[in-house]
Amino acid sequence: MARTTSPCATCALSTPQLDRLGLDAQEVDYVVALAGNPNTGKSTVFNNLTGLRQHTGNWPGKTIARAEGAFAYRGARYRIVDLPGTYSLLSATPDEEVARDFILFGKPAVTIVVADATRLERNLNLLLQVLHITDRAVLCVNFLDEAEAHGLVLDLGGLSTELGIPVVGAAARQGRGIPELLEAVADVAEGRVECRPLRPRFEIPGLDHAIAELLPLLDHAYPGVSHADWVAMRLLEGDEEMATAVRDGHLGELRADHVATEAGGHE
Amino acid sequence: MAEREQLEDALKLLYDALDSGETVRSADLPVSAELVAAELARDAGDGTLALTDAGREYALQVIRAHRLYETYLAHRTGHPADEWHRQAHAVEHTLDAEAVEDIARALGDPLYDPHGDPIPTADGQLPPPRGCGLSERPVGWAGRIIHVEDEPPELYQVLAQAGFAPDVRLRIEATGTDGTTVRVAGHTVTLSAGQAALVQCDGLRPDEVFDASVIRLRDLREGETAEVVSISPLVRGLARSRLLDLGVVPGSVLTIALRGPGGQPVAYLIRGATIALREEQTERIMIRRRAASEAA
Amino acid sequence: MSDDPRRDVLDAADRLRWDLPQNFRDRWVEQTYAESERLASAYVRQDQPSRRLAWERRLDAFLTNRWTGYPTMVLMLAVVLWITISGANVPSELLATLLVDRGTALWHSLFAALHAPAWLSGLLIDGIWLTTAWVVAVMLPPMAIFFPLFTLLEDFGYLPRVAFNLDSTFKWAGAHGKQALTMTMGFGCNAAGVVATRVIDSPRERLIAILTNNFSLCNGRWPTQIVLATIFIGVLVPSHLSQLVATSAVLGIALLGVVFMFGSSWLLSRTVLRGEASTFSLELPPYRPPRVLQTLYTSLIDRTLIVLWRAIVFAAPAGALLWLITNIHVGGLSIAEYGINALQPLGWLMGLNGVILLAYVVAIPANEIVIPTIIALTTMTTAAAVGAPETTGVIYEFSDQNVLKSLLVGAGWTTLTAVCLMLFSLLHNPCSTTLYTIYKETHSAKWTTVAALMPIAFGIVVCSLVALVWRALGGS
Ligand SMILES: Nc1nc2c(ncn2[C@@H]2O[C@H](COP(=O)(O)OP(=O)(O)O)[C@@H](O)[C@H]2O)c(=O)[nH]1
Ligand SMILES: [Mg+2]
Repeated sequence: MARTTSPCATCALSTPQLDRLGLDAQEVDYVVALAGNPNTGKSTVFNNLTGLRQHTGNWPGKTIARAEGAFAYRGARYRIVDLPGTYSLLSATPDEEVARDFILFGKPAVTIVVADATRLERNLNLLLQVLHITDRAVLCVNFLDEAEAHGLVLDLGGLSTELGIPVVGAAARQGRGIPELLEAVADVAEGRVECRPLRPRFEIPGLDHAIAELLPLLDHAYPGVSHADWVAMRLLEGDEEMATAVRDGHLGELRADHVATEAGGHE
Repeated sequence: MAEREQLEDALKLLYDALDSGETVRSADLPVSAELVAAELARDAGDGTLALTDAGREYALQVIRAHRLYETYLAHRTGHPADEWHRQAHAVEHTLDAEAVEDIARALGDPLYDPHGDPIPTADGQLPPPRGCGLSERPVGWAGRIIHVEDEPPELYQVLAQAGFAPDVRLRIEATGTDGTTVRVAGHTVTLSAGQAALVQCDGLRPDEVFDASVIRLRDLREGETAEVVSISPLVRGLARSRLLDLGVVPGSVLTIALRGPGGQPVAYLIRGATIALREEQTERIMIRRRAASEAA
Repeated sequence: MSDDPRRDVLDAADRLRWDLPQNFRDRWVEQTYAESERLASAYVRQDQPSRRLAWERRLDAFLTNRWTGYPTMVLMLAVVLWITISGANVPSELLATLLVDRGTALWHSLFAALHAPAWLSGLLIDGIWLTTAWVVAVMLPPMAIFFPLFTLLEDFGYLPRVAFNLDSTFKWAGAHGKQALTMTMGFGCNAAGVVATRVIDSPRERLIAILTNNFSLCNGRWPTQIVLATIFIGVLVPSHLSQLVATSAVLGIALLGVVFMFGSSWLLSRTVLRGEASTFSLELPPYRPPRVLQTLYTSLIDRTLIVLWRAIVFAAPAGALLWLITNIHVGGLSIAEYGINALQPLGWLMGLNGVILLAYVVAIPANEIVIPTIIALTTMTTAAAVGAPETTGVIYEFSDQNVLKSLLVGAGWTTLTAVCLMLFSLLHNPCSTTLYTIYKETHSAKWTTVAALMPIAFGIVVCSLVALVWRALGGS
C-alpha cells in the first residue's frame, strides 16, 4: 500500500522532519508546554510527539505531575511538558498551581492549548485565561473526528483571526493534524508568526481604576515585568501566591527580556 | 495563659457592651481591677468603666484574631459553621501578632468574616456597624443581609441551612404570630422571633432589585431549562472555585441530564459537559427558569 | 511612598481591594465564560442533530438506572474477576516452574560449578532470588490481566458512571463515589489503588480513599485466604459442600473488608479528617470506543515494570532477611527463634502464634510471601517435616495440600488459628510498597503512620475478640 496521505497513528505521522526523542531532553532550543482541560487529549498529543507512553484514559484527573519529553523538528530540538489538565488557572489546587507556574515562570517558547472540539465553549474559557499570561500560544482543536460524528462544523480560520493565535484542527488519536500542529509550533517558536492574543476587557466596577493605580507601582518595583495586568488582578483578588512572589522577588523572573535559563532552569 | 484569656475576654466583653451603648460597673466585671492596673480601662468616675486608647486597640486586635480565624476555618477547612465560633474563641488568645498577620496574609487580607462582620485592620480601623434587625421590617420590604449572628449555635445552624448569609437578598412575605415568613436564597422560610433576631439587614443598593423568581437548582425539574443567577456566599474556598471552574457561573444555561439511581446525585448538562452535583451543592446554587423558547 | 517598592505594591493592592466588589473572582470567571460562549457560538455550528448524543443518552439511562445499572455493575465486576482468576492460573504456574523451580536449580548448579561458599549461594539464591521470583510468579499474571481490563473500562468511559451510581452510598460514609473504583483497584493491588485516588479532587475524600484502600483484599492476599479456607474451613463440612463453603469463607472475608472500608471511612470523616477541606465534582465524560490492542500492550508493559521494580526493591531484601535470621545463630538459637519466642504471647492472645507474627514482620514488603515464609519458619522450628528441603530459611510451597496441613497441624494449628489468620491477613498494615506509595501521594508521615496503624489496631482487636469468644465457647 503506497498511500501516503492516509492518517496513521503509529507511522510517525508521515512527517519526515519529526524526530521523536523520547526522554532525551538535552540541549534543547525551545520549551513547549501542553495545557488544556482534563481529558482533551494532551497526553495523546504528547505521546504522538515524543514517542513516549504517558498514561491516557477517559477520566479527568489522571496526569498529576508534569511529564516531560523531547522531539526535534526541522533541525530544532524541543522539550515538551505535559501539564496536568485543569478547568481554570485561578484556583489554589496543586495541579492548577503546577500549570500556572510553568506557563508563567517556565517561560515556554510556545504553549499548546489542547481543546475538545465537542465542548469548545468550556475549553475556550481556559484558553482565554492562558492567553492572559502568555503571548505565544497555539490552539489545537482536538477530537475533530468526534465533532464530525456530532454534526458540528467549526470555522477554525475565523477563530484563529479573532483569537490572534494559530489554530490547528486535530484528531490526535488518529494522528490527524499533528504535522500541522508541529508546523504552527515551529512558526511561533522561531518567530515566523507573531501572536496577538485576544484579551477581553473586564467590566468590573472599580477594576480599571485599581489596575491603573497598581501598574506604575509594579513597574517601579519590577521594571519591565510582563503580564502586569494579570499580576495586578491576582493581587487585587488577594492571591497569596502572587503576593509572595512580589514580596520575595520571585516576580523578577517575569521580565519580558528575561531569558529563561534553558532546560535546567525550572526543575 | 489562663490569665491572658481572662483579661482578653473581659476586655472584649467591655468593648462590646460599650459599643452597644451600655454602661458597665467595675463591680460587675470579674477582672476589672486587673484591666485598670494594666491601663486598658479606667474608672469613668461614677463607678463605671471606660476603655483607654490602649484598651480599645487591644480589644480590636483580639476581635481581629477571632474574626480572621473564623474566616480561616470557613475558607480553608471542612469544619461546619456551628463550630467556627467555639474554635476561634479557643484560639484567639493563643495567637501572637505575627501569627495573626500570617493568617491574614494567607487568606488574602479578607475584609469581612463569614458572618458579615468587618475585620478590624492591623492598625485598628473598624467601620461602624450598619443596618437593623429583620423583625423591624414591614411586609413587602426587600433588602440584603449584612450580618448573621452565630450565637446561639442551634438557631444559627437553622439559618445557615436555610441559606441566610451576608450579601444574600431577601423579602418579607408575611408576619404573624407563628413568626416572620421571608423569601430568601431561592425559597420561602418562616423564622421564629428568636431566629429573626439574629439577622441584620440593610436596604437594597440603588441598582439592585429583588427577584422573586429565583429558585434553587435542586428545585429544577426534568425537561426544564434554567440559567444560573448566583452561587450562595455560603459556598466558600475550594468548593466555590471548583463550581466556578466547572462552569457553574452566572449566565450558564443548564438542564438535568441524569439522576442517580436513588435520586442523588444529579448530573446536569452545563456548557457542553455533563457534571454531577450533590444536593448540598444544588441547594446553594440560585437559578432562574427559562422558557423553552429562550433555551438556545 | 516608602523606600520599599515591593511593600508599596502590596499595600496599594490591599487598599484598592476595598473598592472592588466582594465577588470579584466570580465576575472574573463569569466574564471569561461569557466571552468563550460568544466565540463558540460564532465559530461552531451544529449542522445536523447529533445522532451520537442520542445513543449516549440512552446508554447513560441504561447504565445509571436503578434496575439495570446495578446488575450491570455486578456483572462487569464478576466478568473482570473471572477473566483475571481463570486467566492467571496458567501463566502463574508457568512462571513458577520457570523461575522458581528451574531458575533456582540452574543458579545452584552454576554456583556449585564456581565453588561458591554455601552462605553465598544460600543468601543470593535461596534468599534473594527465590523470594523475588516467587513474587513475580504470583503477582505478575493477575496484575497483567486485571489492570488492562480496568483500563479498557476507563477508556470507554464506564468508570465515572459507576462512581455516579454509587456516590450516594459512599456519601453516607463521608466518601466520594470515585472511591468505589479506587477500592476495586485495590482488589488488584493496594499501591495501584492508592495512586488511582488522584482522580478524587477533594482533599478530605481523597485522604479517606487512601487510608482505607488497604481494606480491599489485594491480589497478594487472595492466595493466603484460599489456601487456609480450603485446608481448614472446607474440611469442616461434607466433602461435596467443602468447595462451596471454602469459597464463601473467602468471599466473606473480602466482604468484611468492604464493611471495614465503609465503617472506617465513616469514622475518619467524622473524627481526624473532619477539618479537611471538602468539595464534590464528578464529570461524566462522553463514551469513547477503547483502543483494545494498544491498551493491552501499554498496560502490560507498565504493570510488568511496576511488578519487577517492586519485587527487586522490596521483596529481594525481605528474602535476604529471612535467610539471614534463620541461618544466623546466637547462643544455639537462630535469630528467628528469638523473634518467635518474643512474639508468641501476643500471637496466642490473637489466636495466632509467634511464627505467624514473625512472618508478617518479615513479609512487610509483600503479602504474597506470607504463607511461604510461615512454612519456612514452621519447618525450621518443627525439626523434621515431610518433604521439606534440607536448607533452612527457604520459601517454598507444597504442591500437596495434605502435606501442608499435616505440617501446620503438627505445629499446633487449629481451626481457630486459620480463622484468625484469615482475619489478620485482611486487617493488618499495608505492605511496604503501599506505605511508600501513600507517603509519596500524601507527603505526610502522619497519614502514612495512620494508614499503617489503623488496620493493625483493628486486626489485633478483632483477632483477640474472636480468640476470646472461641476459647470461652470451649473451642481450642
Ligand atoms: N476519538 C478521539 N479520541 C481521542 C482523541 N484524542 C485523544 N483521545 C482519547 O481521549 C482520551 C483522553 O485522552 P488523554 O490524552 O488521556 O487526555 P488528557 O487528559 O488531556 O491527557 C483517551 O482515551 C484518548 O485515547 C481524538 O482526537 N479522537
Ligand atoms: Mg493526561
